Amino acid sequence: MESRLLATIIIFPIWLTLVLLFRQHRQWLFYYLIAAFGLTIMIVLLAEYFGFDQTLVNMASFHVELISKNLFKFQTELLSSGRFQLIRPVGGSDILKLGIECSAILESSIAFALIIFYPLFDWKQKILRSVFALVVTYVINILRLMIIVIIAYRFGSNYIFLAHAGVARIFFFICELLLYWYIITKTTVKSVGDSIENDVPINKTAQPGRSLQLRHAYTQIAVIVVVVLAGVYSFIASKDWQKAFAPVARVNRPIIYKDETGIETPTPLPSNQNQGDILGEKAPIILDQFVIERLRAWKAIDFGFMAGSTTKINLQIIHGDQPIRIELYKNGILQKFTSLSTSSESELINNQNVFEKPLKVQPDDIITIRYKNLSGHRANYTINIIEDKTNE
Amino acid sequence: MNNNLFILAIFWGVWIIIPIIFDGFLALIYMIHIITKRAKRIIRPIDPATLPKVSIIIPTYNEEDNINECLNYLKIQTYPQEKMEIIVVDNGSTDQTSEIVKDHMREIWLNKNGHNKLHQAVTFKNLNHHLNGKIKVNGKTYQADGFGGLLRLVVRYEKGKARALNAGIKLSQGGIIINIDCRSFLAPDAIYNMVAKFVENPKYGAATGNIEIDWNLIYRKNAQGQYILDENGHYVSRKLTLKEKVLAKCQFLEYLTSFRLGRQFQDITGSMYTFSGAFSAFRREVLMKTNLYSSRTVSEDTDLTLDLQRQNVRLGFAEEAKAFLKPVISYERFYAQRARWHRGQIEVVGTHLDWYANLTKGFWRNFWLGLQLMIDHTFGFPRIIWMFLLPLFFLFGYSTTLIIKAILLMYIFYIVMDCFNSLYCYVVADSETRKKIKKSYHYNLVMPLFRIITFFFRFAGYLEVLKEPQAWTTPVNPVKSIKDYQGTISTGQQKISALGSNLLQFVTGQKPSSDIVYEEKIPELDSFGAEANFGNPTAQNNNKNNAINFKKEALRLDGINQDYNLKEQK
Repeated sequence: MESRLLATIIIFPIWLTLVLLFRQHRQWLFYYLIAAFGLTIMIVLLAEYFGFDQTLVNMASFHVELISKNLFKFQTELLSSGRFQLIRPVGGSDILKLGIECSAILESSIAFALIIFYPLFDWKQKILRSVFALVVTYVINILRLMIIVIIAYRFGSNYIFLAHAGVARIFFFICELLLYWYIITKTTVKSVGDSIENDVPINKTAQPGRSLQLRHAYTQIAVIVVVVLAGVYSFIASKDWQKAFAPVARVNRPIIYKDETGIETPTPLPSNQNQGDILGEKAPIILDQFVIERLRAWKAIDFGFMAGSTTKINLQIIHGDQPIRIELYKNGILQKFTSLSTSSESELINNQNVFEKPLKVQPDDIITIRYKNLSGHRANYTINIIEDKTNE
Repeated sequence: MNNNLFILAIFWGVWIIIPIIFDGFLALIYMIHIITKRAKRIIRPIDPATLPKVSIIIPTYNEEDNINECLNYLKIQTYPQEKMEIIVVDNGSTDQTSEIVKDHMREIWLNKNGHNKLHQAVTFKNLNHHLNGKIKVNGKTYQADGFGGLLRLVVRYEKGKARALNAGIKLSQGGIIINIDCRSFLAPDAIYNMVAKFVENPKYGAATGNIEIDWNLIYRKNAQGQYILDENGHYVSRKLTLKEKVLAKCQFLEYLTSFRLGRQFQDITGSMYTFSGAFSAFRREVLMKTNLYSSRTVSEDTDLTLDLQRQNVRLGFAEEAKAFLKPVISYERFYAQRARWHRGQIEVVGTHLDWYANLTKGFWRNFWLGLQLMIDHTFGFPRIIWMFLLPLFFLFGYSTTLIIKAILLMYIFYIVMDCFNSLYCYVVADSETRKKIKKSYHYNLVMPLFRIITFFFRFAGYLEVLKEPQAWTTPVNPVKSIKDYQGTISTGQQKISALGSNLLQFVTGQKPSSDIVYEEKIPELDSFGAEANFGNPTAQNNNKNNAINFKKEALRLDGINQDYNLKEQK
């Protein structure tokens, strides 16, 4: 992730120089293009570095779940990291996972950058309009996600794909276009027309009270205030947000971990714990769960630990959105491996054990799990390490 | 498999579905509309005696390369020539433009007086072989000898295309007023077909012609800048370089779609957005109700079109009235043209905003007009960022092959769309245009690139309207312009000379520019019998000696013109 910060630090001075150069030489196309595009890239990189995109996803999932539950009376259950379970009335349930695309981080950054550098507005207007655009984009995004949820609820998860890439996409696009029309095009033609008809310089016409009518400015401020207050209220009214924002807890560790954080002491495993009921089925004892987010295309990750006691372990993928190859090593020697492809529902929700037979581990055995994203797409996985009672 | 499909679908969602809706779907609607409506067209026979008088107005400024041929094309019109009146309005050209027009006037006069072999009768001032009158249209040779109508020249002091056009309109007498551009050469039956549009359907108040790019109109020149003639006395088409060829052929395909598909659709829905300045016609009574051409925007033709729209005048597209236009083959000029067009678009819409965005003033017409602006302007903003973001998606974890696949798919989609459009145009076009389409069909492969280039040029126009005065144009090459800019600020000599000329202006009250030279041409107006003096009335008082010298020169030139004028006045 440091590469993102590094990239931003390298890009910034080059970007600034070019922007200032083109501005000074009144090359407006290059100025605007580089300024807006560069800012978009930097916002996205920094958002990823600080995990802000995940925060947006969590927030969106919290709001979508809240609206589904309270407004549409759907039966839902909020889970961590952008997931929530949707229990359909006709039976069956789906876990919906919001990806980074659903956070609308790209669209928000683009809107922000395009407005901030648009040469017509002065600073006050730039700030008002860009904040307005951000707020409205967030609301449009929630509405879009609601469309997907409603379609998934009514017609089942087979239609999520269609809803996501089709109906919801078009809805989002048209709304964004209307937003740009309202913020940029309308004001531009108005200011230009005013400037020509009254023979006034254009920077005088693009002022509140002229091209931007005051009532529009007040409306924009009102919209921002209402949306922000509603957002704040939602956090106060529903404590569910803690679930959405909670990191996946690494409790109940029967084994000692040795990942990048170093060696940790084992914690006792509580008995009779049943954590698998969210999937509508009685699940075996989960020794631990780990979530890997945004695993790059074709990259592999090692996850090592030392066994704390003699036990038989197996793996379960409870969420995964891309094909995966999993290898299990004991003391550096490959013991088991398998490749799993995604189901037709485009999500790899496999409640079954990954390996047919469990792997027996002794205290002090160093177990390494390697898993590799087999797709060309960035992926998220949630994997349980379970205690497997079947014969080895 | 499924997974790959899903990933592709996300890209498709952004990159294919949206263009399909906006570009493909619209084109489809256009076609369906046109195909269903075309069948209903009624053609009424025209009695030649009822044909109205036509005035053709040509504004010029330094067009010595084109004016001769432009006039030759007018001289071979099949329209009854005695009902034609050509008015050339010269905006103070510094080249031979007005001289060439005068030569044509002499030639016409000689022809009317029974002298066919003009080059034997008169020694012309200009050495260009411009008066042999031979032209080739679609492979056929025509001899433009004589002209039964009236040719007039107005030399003006003021600049501005809009004012020149208005001067011409005020001088004109025809029932139908046609405005053409010096770079557009009318097909022999163009004026007839244009007038037929009005006669066939009295509802139409104005109509635009069918502009077709013709890359054969770019001719070879010798070292002295004169056109080279072949053994038959024709101009010889220049072989274009690859870069020029791509630009010319892509413009051909673009105009083809834009007129045969776009304008045709606008005719049917009544949502005509801009009349081409290259060839458009108006009923006199309709035109006189408007404010004529206005110089408040850089795009006077669009301004007038919307002015007519406001008055609910029915605007049409005369498909059979073809004009051939020289393509712009320099990228810098192409850039300047496109930036100016779209700057004009914003300016015109701005001045008509009260009416433009108001759907109550004619729902469908204004809906299509608004959609045009939305696609051009609004859609351009997210698109310009996405265009660069897509190739960088590998930074966000997408695989490079996927991105390349998505870009390729998109490119193929646009190629298919353009091929489909050209195919449609091929079906509806006449045999000559079909030949041209066949020759340029494979350039559809680079059309998406061409459209991207025009998209950027358009966007530049949208930004320049906010920051730069109307008279300003940007050079396309920023590095070069930065060098130039540094040159102007660092060269002390230039600074001083600029300061000096400003001082001179302050002291003498005169503009120390070459304008004075144009002012002295004003007396020439009299010698050509132009009724109105549209120039600066104070101009004649300036610099008396020069004026006298000029008068002498004018008298020396020929007595023929005086005779001609006398004859006309009788």
